[in-house]
Amino acid sequence: MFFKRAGKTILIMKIIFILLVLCFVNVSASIFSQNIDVSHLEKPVTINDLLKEIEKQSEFHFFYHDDLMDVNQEVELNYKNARMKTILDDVLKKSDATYKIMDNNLIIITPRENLQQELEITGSVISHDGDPLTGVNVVIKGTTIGTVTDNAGNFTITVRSANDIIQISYIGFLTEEIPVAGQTIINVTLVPDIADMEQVVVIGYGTQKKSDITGSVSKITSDEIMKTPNIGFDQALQGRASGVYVTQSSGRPGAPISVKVRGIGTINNSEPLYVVDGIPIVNDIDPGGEINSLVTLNPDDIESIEILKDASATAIYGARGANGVVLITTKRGAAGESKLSISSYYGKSYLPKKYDLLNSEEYARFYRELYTLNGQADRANIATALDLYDERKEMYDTDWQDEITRVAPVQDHNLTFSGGREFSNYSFSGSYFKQDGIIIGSEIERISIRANSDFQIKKRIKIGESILLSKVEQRNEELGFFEATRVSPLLPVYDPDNLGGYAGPGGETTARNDMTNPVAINNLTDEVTNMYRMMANLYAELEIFNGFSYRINAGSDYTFHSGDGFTPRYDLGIRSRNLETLTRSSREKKAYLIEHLLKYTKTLENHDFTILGGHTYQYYINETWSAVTDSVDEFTVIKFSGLENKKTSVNDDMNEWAMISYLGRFLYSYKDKYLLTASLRRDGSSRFGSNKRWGNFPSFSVGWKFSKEEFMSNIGFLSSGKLRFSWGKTGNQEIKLYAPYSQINTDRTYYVFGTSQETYFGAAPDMFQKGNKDIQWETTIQQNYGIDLYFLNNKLGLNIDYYIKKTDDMLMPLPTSSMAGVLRTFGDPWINIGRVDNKGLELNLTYRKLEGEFNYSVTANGSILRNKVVDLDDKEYRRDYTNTAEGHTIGSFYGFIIDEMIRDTLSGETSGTYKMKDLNQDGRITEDDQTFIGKSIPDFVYGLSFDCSYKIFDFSMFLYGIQGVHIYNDIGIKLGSPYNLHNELDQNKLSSVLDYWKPETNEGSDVPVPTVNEPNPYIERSTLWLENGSFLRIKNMQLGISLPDKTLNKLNLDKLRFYIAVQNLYTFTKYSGLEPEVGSESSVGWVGDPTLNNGIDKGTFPQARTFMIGLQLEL
Amino acid sequence: MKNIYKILIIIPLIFACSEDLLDLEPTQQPLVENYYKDENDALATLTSCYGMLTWMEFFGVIDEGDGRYFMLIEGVSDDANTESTIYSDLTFTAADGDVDGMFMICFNGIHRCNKLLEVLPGIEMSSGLKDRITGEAKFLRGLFYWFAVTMWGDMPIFDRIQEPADLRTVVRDPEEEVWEFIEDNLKDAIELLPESYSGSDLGRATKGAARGLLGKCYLYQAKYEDAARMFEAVIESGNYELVKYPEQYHKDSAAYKNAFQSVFMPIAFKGYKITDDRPAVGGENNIESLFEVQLNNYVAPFDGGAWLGWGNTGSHRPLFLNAKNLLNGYANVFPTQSLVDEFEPGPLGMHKDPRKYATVWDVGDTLEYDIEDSTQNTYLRPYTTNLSPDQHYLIKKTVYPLFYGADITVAGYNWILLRYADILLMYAETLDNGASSNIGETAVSLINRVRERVGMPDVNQLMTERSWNITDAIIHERRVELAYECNRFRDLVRWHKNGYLANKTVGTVITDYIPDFEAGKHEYFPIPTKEIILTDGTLTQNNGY
Repeated sequence: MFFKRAGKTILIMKIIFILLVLCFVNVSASIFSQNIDVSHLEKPVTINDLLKEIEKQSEFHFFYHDDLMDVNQEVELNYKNARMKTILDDVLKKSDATYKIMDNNLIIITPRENLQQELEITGSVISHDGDPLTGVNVVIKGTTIGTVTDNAGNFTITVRSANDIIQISYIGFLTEEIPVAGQTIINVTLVPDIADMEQVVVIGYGTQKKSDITGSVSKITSDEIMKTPNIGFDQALQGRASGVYVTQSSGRPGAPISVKVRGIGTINNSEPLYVVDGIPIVNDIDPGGEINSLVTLNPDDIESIEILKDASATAIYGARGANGVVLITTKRGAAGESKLSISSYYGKSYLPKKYDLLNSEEYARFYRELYTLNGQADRANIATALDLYDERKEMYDTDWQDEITRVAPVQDHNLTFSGGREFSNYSFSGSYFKQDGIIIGSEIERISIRANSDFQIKKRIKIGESILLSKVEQRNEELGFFEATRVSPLLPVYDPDNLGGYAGPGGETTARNDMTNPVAINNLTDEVTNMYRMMANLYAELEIFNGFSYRINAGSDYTFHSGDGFTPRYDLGIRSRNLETLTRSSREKKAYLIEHLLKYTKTLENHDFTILGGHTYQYYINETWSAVTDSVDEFTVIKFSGLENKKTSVNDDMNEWAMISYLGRFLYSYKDKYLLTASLRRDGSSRFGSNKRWGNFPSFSVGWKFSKEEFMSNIGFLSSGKLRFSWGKTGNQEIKLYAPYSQINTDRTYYVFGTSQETYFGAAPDMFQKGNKDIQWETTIQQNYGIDLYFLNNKLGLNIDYYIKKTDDMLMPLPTSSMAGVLRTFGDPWINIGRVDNKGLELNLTYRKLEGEFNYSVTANGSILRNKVVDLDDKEYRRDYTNTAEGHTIGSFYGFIIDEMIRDTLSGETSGTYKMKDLNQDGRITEDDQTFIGKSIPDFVYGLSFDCSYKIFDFSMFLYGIQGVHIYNDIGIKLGSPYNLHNELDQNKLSSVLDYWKPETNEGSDVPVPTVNEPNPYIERSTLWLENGSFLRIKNMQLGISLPDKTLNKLNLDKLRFYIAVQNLYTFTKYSGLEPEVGSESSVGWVGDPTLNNGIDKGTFPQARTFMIGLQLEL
Repeated sequence: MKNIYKILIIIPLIFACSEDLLDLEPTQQPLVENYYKDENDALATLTSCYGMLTWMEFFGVIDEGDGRYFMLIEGVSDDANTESTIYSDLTFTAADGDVDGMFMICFNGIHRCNKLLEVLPGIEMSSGLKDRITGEAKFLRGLFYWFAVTMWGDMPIFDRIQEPADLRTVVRDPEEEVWEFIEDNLKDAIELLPESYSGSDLGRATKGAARGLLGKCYLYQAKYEDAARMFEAVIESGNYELVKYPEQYHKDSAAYKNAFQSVFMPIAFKGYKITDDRPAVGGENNIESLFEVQLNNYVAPFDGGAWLGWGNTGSHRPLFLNAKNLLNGYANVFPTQSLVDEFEPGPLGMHKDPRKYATVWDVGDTLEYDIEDSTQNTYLRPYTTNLSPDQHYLIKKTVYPLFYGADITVAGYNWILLRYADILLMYAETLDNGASSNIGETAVSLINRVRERVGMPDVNQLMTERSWNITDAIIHERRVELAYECNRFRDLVRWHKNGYLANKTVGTVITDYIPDFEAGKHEYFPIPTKEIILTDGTLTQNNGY
């Protein structure tokens, strides 16, 4: 079974390889051949055939009017490998035509006698911000005579009369018409069209004009992506599109990012589907959740990102579309001269904020006071520490926050080489990225190469490919703020006498604070993950007859993770290690896709329609393997074979899934006013039982461009308007693999028998997997109401969308009693249960002023979200601090309500402590006094960007914020509670604990009286440390200066821009922790829990403030 | 155009894709529906039933926090203080992870036994082996229910596996019926199990283990006559005796210390060095042991699973009990002064009963510990403490010699659940409660057998000195002999429930021993909140939680 599949894999790889080689060969031929061989042509030849042959063999294209020259005139020739010029001169000498070679390899052939009367016009086209525009259409109005601008934006066109009008048009800009009126130099500045109705938007399995879209699709351009430089494109999505809520749960380079499109549709995996150049990619987060496999894609390679939000847009992805689809299109070459662009930046990152912790003197004083208050003044270590200080004034005073952080460099270099001719285009890029984390021990490095090209073969065949190779090397810190903030400041960092050179807890001053030295651990242990990825996609498209085409896509996504870890022996006081440990692990993920698509496009008077039909097959296999040993010698000798040795253990696993899908879509527009889209996808997934495997996912949407109606023609301020409605059903299949099957566990259950104490493997029924044969698709039905309005000649744009999204039959593990034999949580059977509703309002507002020397644009987007669990079959999904239950938002905070601090001494209760509210009024505090106390999903998410330019200067600023959300400050509890929480003794605290409540002298204080142990087991699950998590962050500010065109021309450059930028300049928030952007803690990886455990700050790796300088160069 | 038609015909063929491609069943692990074919499958399933016992050593299992049965059950007694005072002070709640973990172990174990007993009749194998496997499964089912009934009282009785849907209406059966169910299982086990095993089967449940446990069950229910018959059967079998040093070495204190230590010490343990040329006695599966959890130092693949206790066969006790400031330990449980004081002055000029030296470390003792490295040296370090007075002592019993290994301190100490000294003392207790002896023993003679082994004088002398009656003596002896074997709290509770404490001359109510004990509540542990939620509340909570 397995080998059969492997065989298929190899075949796919071979095809990819062969096509790749062919592509390269073809490209080089078209670029460099100068000589033309026409000897093989049948003689005599017509001019027409001859020119076609030259086109075929060279990079030149001919441009001529049939009626101006007799192209069927036969010519005699006998050349072999002649210069093209020679051929043309000879041939045209005999005719009455002449020719002219233009900059962009166009050869214009015109009648000889006309030439003198014609007027040659030269000019250039630039955009509002001074950039030359390449590929702009320059046409003489009313004719098909035209040209396109070159890389410098220049054009030359020959008009026949001074009365001609030149029409200049370019996608994304308003079309200009300029009468020649005798001018010979025409320079044009194009003004962007904010509505950009002709803009091409990538939708699933095709593209559509923006004006024709009836669903809800957000587009993010490469400019926007590159404005917030980051290793992964997913970070750049933040705040750029309404309805997309992106949380970066950690500032660690390469940490996973959570992306939610239109709320949290399900309690299990609610991340969107990512599709790169048409290939759905594998984005499963590894157990441990520390690797983000999306960082393998270089953001600089991305041309655009389209986020499909409503069901009409996503239903074409059927069973995987319920949580939105993110379509990534990488850069491809365009016709024109070869272009080389280089972009580079270098920056330094800083820790923006620190906790205010006790220093040594305060630490010793605080604990002495604590123990004195509790009648334990003899706690030796504290007394000793203080005595040392009093007597000798000698005491270490380590600031562990400073010690584990650093000013960390980041650098990114990209080189892209692209170009094309009429029949082929190419784009190659190489990039290098390296970032050190601000916490020592964390770093990431990426090297990536990408090649994209397309070729037209004959008239009806087109083939092309996208290939990405990348390598990401990542190191994560072992210990971060959670640990470093709690180490005793009395502990020094280094101790040269110790093995390893670091100091550790123990001894007279720090014995009771047994936190280990985080600097030592981060520096001594070495765990590195290397991730290699190859994404390759090939297509071939055959136009069977006009408008009807067949396309085949073959794609593969291969990822190999290899992990190596070494922990040496070291002496760190009571946290010493006497063993060295070596670990190795590998994980191979392979995904394949074969896709057949048929498309028919037809226009009949007022009716435009496109029909699409397709079939896809996807297969995914994941193989993991890991080993650990305590005996380094054995390890290296035996290389994991013959593992009788008990100190070495190995674990391996394999799983696979597959999907077969049929899809169809009908796009229709009548008079370009009334639009209809309908689609249907049928998916079969191996993840479900054989009788529940197939699901149908229909959708439809309608649009009305009401501004095109007669009765709207008088409303001048409205330039365009469209109403949209959509309805559709999508699915989700993200469940643990093999959910239908009850399994026996044979590798995780053991017992020892016999005189020689041997380990025997047992067979445990249902332990990790209680099957459910009836498990089936989770479905989401979504309605979307939208309106797009553009005013004031498209300067002001407004888009509003309202949606209602109902997810039924959520795929969830049924929390099952251990009485059913399952390892609770891990072995819970998957079931379809309940319903979650998301309703939201999304708003985009853009204003652009793009004339004159000072240009600016303002873009704002905001999303309001209401999430509610409607039905959960009376069940609750409780976690440490959250509860998910009917009538509440997913992952709501749950706990006790702090009543007040007891300040009087009369009540008989201990004063200076907090009291909980007795909600059920039974006179005591029990588990039943908990209630819903907050939410982890924000009410409102918004982004604001401002761009402006003045002459050679440009400036941009981007703000991002969330509102109406809570953070559970878990690290705050540990640092701010003036007692030994969980008996973790004498850990360092916030300096605010010194200001604790004292009768008479400090009665107003809110800090409880220090006690030896936590006075109240419920205080941790209370409102005391639940904080307002709203924030507004200045994500990016950038100031650039570009060389003016004159200078550029002299230097023969297209663009040279320098900029300085700052990331995360400032964050406005009331939150007391380091980082208000607290995501989910993806702990031991089983699906579902990241969603339920959102917004808990366990010492989040804060996002750095980064200052950078960069340059962009194009030539 | 002809070509076009050809293509139009070919395309649908390409589209036809076999649905078989979706038939992807798990290949790594067998499916329950296809398993249970031969005796190997039955034996492997049985191994997984035993396997639940090793989880008790660590049982992280739980999705939040980790659980430690030892810390829980000793922490609530008067023998130990816990670092987390919720056990010492009896302030733990129904959300407690350790209680939860124990619940899970019991019921996962019961599920596996039930599955095995359900499929066994359909598996072809020799009837002798089938009987033995049935006996072992019934013994283990009885044992898991014994843990459950002594911790939670009323419990649902499951004699077959439960589907998730069944559990939404599950109700608790009365404690008496649970006891009856346990008795039935153990009676069957006694019939089916062999007296002993050898070779690779050593460590499996024996007839003696089943008899001893059944006797213990009777005693817990105050069925003293029935209990006495069972203990007599164990004694009469002649399979068990107390581990002692040969007579010629009984002249110095070291012998007495070693004699008792050896019961718990795996002598095969690497690096342990007997300080002179005396013979090694005791060790794992020794003659005194009726049933013990078999452990070695196998470490499960470390991908989080090891921490969660999935199938380690090593003991984590050293990790929890070792000193914080000397070894890698967490030092979660500390001996109380009250236990140390309970030990009488010892023989041969020893300050204390030799058992004290085998049970706790005191300041000034020299810790001997074993380093798991290539040199395999044994190191000595003096035990000094600068911890608070309530954390002065460390537990030594069951974790000696100390093991100083990697982060996951996994040591291979077997863990005795039932031993002969316990049988003798329980038998003495039945006699004190009016049961008759068919083998001519008295409570005093039985206690003295236990005392003699460690050179302690006749118990009559002690009773006279302290004006004690025999009940006082039994209670005293159980405490010093069986400290840290997870008996003390259960003993105090059953004595309190059975009215046995009232027979004493001193300390006649349970709060004399455990001041925070709340009668009517602390006889039982809380049913884990999670289980109540998971069963839609049909599983009711114990009183007071």
